[in-house]
Amino acid sequence: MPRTAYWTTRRCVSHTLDSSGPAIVINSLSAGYGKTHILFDVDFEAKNEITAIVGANGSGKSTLLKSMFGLCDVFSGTVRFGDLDITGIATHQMYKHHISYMAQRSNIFADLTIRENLTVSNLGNRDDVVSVYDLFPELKSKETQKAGTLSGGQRQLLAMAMAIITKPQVILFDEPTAGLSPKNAQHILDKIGQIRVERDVCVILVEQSVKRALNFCDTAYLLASGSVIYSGPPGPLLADKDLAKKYLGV
Amino acid sequence: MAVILYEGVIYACLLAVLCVGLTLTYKITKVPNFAHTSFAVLGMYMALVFTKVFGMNAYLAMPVSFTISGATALFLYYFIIRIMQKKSQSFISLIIATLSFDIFMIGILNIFADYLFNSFQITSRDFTLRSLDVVVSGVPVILPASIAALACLIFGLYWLLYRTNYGISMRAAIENAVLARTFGINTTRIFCTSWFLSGGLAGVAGMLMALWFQGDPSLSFILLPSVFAGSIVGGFSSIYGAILGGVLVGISEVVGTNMLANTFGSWIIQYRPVIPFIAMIVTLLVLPNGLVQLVSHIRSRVK
Repeated sequence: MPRTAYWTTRRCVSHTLDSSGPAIVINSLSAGYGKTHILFDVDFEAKNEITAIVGANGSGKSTLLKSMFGLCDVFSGTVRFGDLDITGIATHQMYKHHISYMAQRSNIFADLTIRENLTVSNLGNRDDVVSVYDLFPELKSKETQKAGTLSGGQRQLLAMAMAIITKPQVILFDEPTAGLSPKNAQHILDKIGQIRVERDVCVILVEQSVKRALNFCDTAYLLASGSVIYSGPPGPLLADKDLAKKYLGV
Repeated sequence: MAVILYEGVIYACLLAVLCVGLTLTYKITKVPNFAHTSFAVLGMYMALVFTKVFGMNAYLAMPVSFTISGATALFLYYFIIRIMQKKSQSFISLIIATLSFDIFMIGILNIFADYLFNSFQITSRDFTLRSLDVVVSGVPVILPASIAALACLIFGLYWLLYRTNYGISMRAAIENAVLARTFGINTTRIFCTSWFLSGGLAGVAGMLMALWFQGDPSLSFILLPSVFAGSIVGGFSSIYGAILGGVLVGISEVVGTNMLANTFGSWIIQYRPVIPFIAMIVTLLVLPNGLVQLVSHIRSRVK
């Protein structure tokens, strides 16, 4: 099937991105929804490694992730990707800047087949869909099946495949293991680790299970009431019993 | 008998086309568009202008009807519905907006009808173009044209929604617009396309209706219950359900009214709009999700 004109207009923008420097830099960000402020004066950086954002419910973890993808209102501050200011760029333009996002819930199109889901997420390029099956062979045999018939773990794998299919440089994962059994959750995290290493990308992860996230990431950010309380390697955060107990419940 | 059969088939096919448009915009923007039938009446007037003012074949009005009605529907979506949705206006407000637009359209069509009468001395109210249709072997061309319109719609929609990348992205945007945006799909463009398509289809259906039925600026209010009934019988969420619902309601209206008239007398014909109301009420009480619910129930039992 040839591409239609609609899809051929959707081209990616190239950036100068220093792989040793930060891929995403957020400065003094205040953001929220409508008139509600969720984040206050947040500074954040993420390099080509796994950065976890942890915190209690309602601390603003998901909002921080969404602010990098144009999914919430930014009141002040900037979000930069490499040398480009992406603050206020519309969500549907983000794919052009090699940033992808895996939503927490409703992250697949249940009425579409697996192949159609991958086609939609791959800017309409049906041919390249095959390449993703190398990383997710479990999806190959089910490609004509409706995505809504998949199990929870398989849905998350499909959502992950959809997030990486355009070969992004930054991947934002919003609670990818939510609602999964420990075995499936570990499988998902293993896949994320594999993608991060094989593709040398920047992974930013919001994870409900604090221990799991801190044991998995290279850098951690702890959020409380919309502000950054801690940033740095995860080791000291786990070791600081008071901090962990007060803000993380561990 | 042949006339009733023709009328039943023509009305059912064109009603189904109208139901598809209504269902499409409802599925995409979650707004039941009460102005939908006014786009059909606009198409009727295009047919009138082409035949009586320009002296051309009515069928040549089809692309113009499609474009003008589509553009009107696009105007309604882009400048009213989209802005109201951005401001998080309530569902009721959106319904009232479409209803107001319908009243506005009726006003515009009345002005246009007066203009046609005053400037060209042509009958522009309660008009019919039936006598201008071509008859081949005793069969008016509008009969195969209506069937062809529905058939083209069925295959065209299947091709668009399941065989093109744009169609797949349309289905994705229908299911979850926010998620679709995260994959680079311009949902506003897709919504605009859908409204244009929906209005355009209504325009074509109206243009064809003018070749058999009477046209009038206020016809949209008379057609509206039938179109809603067809869509609701179909499930209001399924395009193919809308086709089935439209055909069923259309045939029931024509054949049912004639059967009742034969039994009880011709006085009953004026109560024809009761049939779509009954279809709507029965469906909502017995099968709230319409024929789609019935089909999925049968499927699950077969499995």
